[in-house]
Amino acid sequence: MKKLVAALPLCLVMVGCGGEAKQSGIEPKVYTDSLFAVMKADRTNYTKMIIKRLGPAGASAIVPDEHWEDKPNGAPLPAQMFRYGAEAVAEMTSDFSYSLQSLWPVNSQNGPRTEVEKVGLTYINDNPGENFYGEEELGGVKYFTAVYPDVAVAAPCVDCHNGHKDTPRTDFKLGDVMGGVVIRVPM
Amino acid sequence: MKGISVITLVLATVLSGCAEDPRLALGEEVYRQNCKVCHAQGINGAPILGNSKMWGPRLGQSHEELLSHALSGYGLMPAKGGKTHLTDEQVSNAIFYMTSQVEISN
Repeated sequence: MKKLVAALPLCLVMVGCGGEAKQSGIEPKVYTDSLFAVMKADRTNYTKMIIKRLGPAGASAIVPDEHWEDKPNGAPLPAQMFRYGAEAVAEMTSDFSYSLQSLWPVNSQNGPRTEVEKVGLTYINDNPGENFYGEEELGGVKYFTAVYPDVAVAAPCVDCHNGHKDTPRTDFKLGDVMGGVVIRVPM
Repeated sequence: MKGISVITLVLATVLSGCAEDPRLALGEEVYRQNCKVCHAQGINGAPILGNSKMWGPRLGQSHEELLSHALSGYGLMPAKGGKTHLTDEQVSNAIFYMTSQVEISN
């Protein structure tokens, strides 16, 4: 420990004297992959522990519904819960942002807004199971942008999207990529 | 139990002159076209291909047990992952392939 303390000022002197300081830190891809792992885990747990257990397929104590606020025992759909998380994070920090988007959004504001988002969403749709990683410059800031697939994993997802009055696509099947999670980190 | 079936599979492969079990190649194709979309990502808790931490507990189960789960649905996974056009044999091959990848990654 003493050696480490002694080495620290030496490093600082070397850097101050023109020695090359090595860049350290987490790779953007590892960072966004890790964020996505947490998001996935939370969404899975909400689906499994709340929706499946307490919803119509379980105790039927809650009604998972797009318009959950209008029902006394309504509960947000997993995708809505995911969006609320994204909105809460946006209020907290600009260090990263995330959103759930689709080439066929039920709500048009959830479509891609940048070229990289569009390319990424197209890529994950054409290559099921693959992620997309890219870089883009927005407002003079360079960003690392990752797009992860969002898959139709349950019949209610498919039925709701195909039957929604505002849906631009009505032929989703179980296992289809319906959209993607876009995570953006300034570089 | 699963360990035994994996050993049997490996032994059979060795005894047949080191030729790869054809079920693995068939299973890989089924995986790529049907299972990868969730199992490459861990969507809804699906064990990620090659991830020994996620597959570890499952390797303790028999192939038949894993197949039964995949065919009938398990946890948040729908029956056959929602790919109802797949035959039981195709699903079985996909399981052989996915479990073989855990062994390789270890």
